[in-house]
Amino acid sequence: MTRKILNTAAGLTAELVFAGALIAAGYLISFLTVG
Amino acid sequence: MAVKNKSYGRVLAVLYYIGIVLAVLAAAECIPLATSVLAGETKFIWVFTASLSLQLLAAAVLVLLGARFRALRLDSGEGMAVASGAWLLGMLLCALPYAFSGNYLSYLDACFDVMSGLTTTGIGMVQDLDHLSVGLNMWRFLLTYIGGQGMVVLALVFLTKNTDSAYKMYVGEAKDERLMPGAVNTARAIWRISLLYLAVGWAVMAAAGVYAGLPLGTAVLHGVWIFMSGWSTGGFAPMSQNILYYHSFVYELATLVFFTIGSFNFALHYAVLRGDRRELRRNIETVSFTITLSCLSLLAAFGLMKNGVYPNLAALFRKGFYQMISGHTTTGFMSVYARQFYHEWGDVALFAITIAMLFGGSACSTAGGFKGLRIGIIFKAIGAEIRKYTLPENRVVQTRIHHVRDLPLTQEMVHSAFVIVTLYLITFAVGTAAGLGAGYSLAESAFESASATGNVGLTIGVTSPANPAFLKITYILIMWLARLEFLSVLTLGAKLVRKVVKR
Repeated sequence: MTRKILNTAAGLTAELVFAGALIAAGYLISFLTVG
Repeated sequence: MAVKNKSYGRVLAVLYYIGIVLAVLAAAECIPLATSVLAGETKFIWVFTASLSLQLLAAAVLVLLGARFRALRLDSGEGMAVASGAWLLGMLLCALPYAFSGNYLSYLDACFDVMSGLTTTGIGMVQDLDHLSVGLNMWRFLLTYIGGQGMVVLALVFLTKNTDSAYKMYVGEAKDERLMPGAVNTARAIWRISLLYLAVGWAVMAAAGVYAGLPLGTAVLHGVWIFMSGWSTGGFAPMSQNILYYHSFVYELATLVFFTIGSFNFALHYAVLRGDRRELRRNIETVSFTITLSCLSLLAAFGLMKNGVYPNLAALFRKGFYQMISGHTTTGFMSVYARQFYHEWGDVALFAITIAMLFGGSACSTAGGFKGLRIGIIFKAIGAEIRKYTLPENRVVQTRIHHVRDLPLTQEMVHSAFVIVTLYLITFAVGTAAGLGAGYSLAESAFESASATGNVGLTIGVTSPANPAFLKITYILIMWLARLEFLSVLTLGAKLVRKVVKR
């Protein structure tokens, strides 16, 4: 059960980080275009 | 005569399952009813009670009519007829609270808003949105949340057996991933994932609302509504200015994260939450989405900069990129006014966002559009075709894709991807023609049609209660067809036509 909860928490974090990376890529594209 | 009776029984079995879905939708209406009770909205307590009674009556009639034949095994066509029929009747019945509320000019407008919510599109016909009752708002967002996961998927949660018919209905709702053995278990897994994110997302959005300066109660209510809308890639917001209303970078960022995750495939969520985190980087859909989002964002940014629309980094990111990813994930949250697209964005940026809306999010997700899986398959097939002519003739190379596991790229996959994408393009063309017929320009008509076809919800200002009835009906049909990925609705249509022709 503990393992399942930890896996779920790690999975949630991974998805949040991945979405964050996509958004950061958008920020970088905006930065490069303005620059 | 025996053949006729058999066919009659099969129709009643389809009606039985449609009745079950309608009963579940009616039960869900207890949530906005309870909300209105808590908010002391006397008028809406009556509105929801009357609607709920009529919905339950309709569901009971269908269930009682077909109960005798419920053990019949549905074939694929009948499973699809259940899904498309439930969506159509669901729209007609779920529109009752809207119609009774006085916030819609006509029953057609109410139906439009329900179909827009259920298909997670997000273009609307509501009047005086800024002063809508709490209960009615809860119903709007709940419909979006249910539609995102799927109303048939929700009904399957309450079935006790993993029957073959259950799987046929599940596929009919354009979700064909088997997360677990059996459609009922898969439906439960989908809802477990969505409810897990609801708990996390509600808390984050409420905190972001408080940070943005909303009173606690408003932050909590808007938090759950915006999360349900964002996660379902819906696009409805409780205020007419949409996300622009909050004037908060933090709030925008929080919505960006949740609607991006909401556009991912449930099979991907399931794999990642069970420990396979590498899947995020390897899956054909995330790879395809990353590439198309980057290319189209670059194109839109170039177009916007060329026109000097958003000359600084903050504006380009918060206005340009936000609308782009909102369109690509088929969410439809907006941080600009609708007419700014038409008057400020320019042709290049409008072209980029129109393509993004058509591409859409992932298959078996809450998102619409062609889907990343099909885009990936088509590009892989094009690559394989080119390789075939550049490599020595005796060399055989098998093309593979990675979607949860490594799979060989088959002719069947390529054929299916091309068929569905072609149907999307035909629908987009019909929607554009309808816009032109109503007197709008090509850019406006194409943008709004892409938004309806991709179940997006971004609007250039075309959709309004003042639209002619034929345009509203066209958009309703487009949203319904596109959400169910055509085949279910076309199958239902073919079955009805065959019945009429036989007579």
